[in-house]
Amino acid sequence: MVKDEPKGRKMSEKLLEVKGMCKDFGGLRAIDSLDFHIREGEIFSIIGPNGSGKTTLFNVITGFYPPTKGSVIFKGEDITNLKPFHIARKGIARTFQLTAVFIRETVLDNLIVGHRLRIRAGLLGTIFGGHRTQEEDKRCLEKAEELLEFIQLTRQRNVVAGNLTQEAQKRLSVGMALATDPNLLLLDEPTGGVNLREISSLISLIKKIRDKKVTICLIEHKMKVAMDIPDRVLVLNYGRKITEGLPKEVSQDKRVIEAYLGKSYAA
Amino acid sequence: MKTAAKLFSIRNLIVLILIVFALTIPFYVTSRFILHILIMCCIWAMAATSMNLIMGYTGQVNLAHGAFFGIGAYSAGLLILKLGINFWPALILACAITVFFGLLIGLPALRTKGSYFAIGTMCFNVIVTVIIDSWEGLTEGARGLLGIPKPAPIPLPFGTEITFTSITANYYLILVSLLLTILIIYRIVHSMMGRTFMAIRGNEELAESLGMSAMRGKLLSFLISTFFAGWAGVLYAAYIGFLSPEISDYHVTFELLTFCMIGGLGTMVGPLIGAFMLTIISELLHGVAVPRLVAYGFVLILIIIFLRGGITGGVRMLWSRMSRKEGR
Repeated sequence: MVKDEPKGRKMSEKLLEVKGMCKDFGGLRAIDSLDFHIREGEIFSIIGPNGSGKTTLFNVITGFYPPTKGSVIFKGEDITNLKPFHIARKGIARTFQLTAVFIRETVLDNLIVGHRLRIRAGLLGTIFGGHRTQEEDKRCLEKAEELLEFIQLTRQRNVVAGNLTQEAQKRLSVGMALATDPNLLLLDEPTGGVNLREISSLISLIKKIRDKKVTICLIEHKMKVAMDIPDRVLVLNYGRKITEGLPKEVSQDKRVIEAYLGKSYAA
Repeated sequence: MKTAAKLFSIRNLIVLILIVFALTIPFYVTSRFILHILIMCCIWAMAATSMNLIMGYTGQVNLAHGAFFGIGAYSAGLLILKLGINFWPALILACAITVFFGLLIGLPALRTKGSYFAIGTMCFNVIVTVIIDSWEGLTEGARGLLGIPKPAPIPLPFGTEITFTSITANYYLILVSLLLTILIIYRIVHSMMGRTFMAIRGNEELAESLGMSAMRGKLLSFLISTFFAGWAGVLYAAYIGFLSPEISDYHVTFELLTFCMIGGLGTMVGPLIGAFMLTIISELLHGVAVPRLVAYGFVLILIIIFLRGGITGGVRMLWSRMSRKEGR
């Protein structure tokens, strides 16, 4: 299943490609013949006004909604109609807009279960406690410890996740996504609901993830995040691509200003 | 960390004492009545513990557990009486049959969520009871299945054998079954598999996005729980020796549900406490069946409103309050 990849991949190579995608909800077309790709190693940002189809796009890519038309290609493989858990195993991890963590479990337990997909945990091994099962448990724990440090929650390791601040929960949810060993990380508003002073820790976390050679795609509203970190930006409006390019180009694009502020500002 | 380790060893000690106590009871309790009550406690505790896996740990409200108990009991009874199979192979076969029915109902029912799953499984439960009641050619219908023999003796070397004619031997058989059930479910709950189940309970979408197949996890948990329900049913059939369709009724399901809720869902000891406490109370109040059910309902409402974690949850709350006071 897992293909061996050539080590020195060039940055320009397409990691994820979306082709001619449409998604209808009844009569409403949430995504309209969308084409774009994400390159390996970059930070890609998707912006657009409310209701422009950003989260829907994430849900289609990760298999939560089937697309009406079009296809999703990941590492050269068509993953269009796979189930969410299958896509996660292929190497795409995501976070949710409304921060999702297992609120009744501790921080450490949340991270441990994030690595579940990389182990077998069969029934017989579980009951009889074989060597392999112990090895697997150890691997999950090591992964969790490593990530605790990475997302800087070491001191809160035994805190029940529901008691963390919103910002710490965001970091935890990113940590859980990273525990799946992804190639591509989709972040749905990683700084949503977090006050401006706390954003910097999340931004530095995102940069740290990029340094680990994980490709990132993020949805953002806050201009500081949406324009400062990404290498390239895709702008959506009413499910259609308005433009795509470097942050600087995009922010001066007439159509983008029009979509955000209305026609009178675009002049 | 240090206090946690200490608490852990105290807990181990309590478990050890309880097991030794349970194993030595027949040496100083000779009353058949008390042993009978304890046997019933163990059977219901087994069924409740298995129900707790799917309901408490995986978060799927399964209202067909009584049906699986009944399927296990009737399968064993019919295999032994109609086909003349020895008890031990019949035990294994009956568990397999129960799991097969679990698969049959689990595959479609687990596609639904929340209350729909509860309603679906409850309908299945009613159907099972109706079928047992009306398929007289196979199950003898309302007359019931009479004269199921006690478990067959296990031959040992040197011409000796373990027989199950005495109530003490039956007590040991059922107690060991209960301990095995607890051990296996404990191991499952405290493993990556158990973590998967609890992840599905916590947030199915999140679990899927982390690469866990919710359907596979739920089905696995469901099948394991039906296996132990079937096992408990077989033990019941062989111990009581008589089966009527009521044993698969949804009242049994709700009784098991009450055990879990009162003891504390999603804890290892909860269903045990609930099953032992309520079985003892109800066996002592045998003559007053109707007020008993009314009282159950009343207690259940109180628990759901005021003590969501059941007795176990209440004790934990008290414990944490007390230790906080000590800390001051």
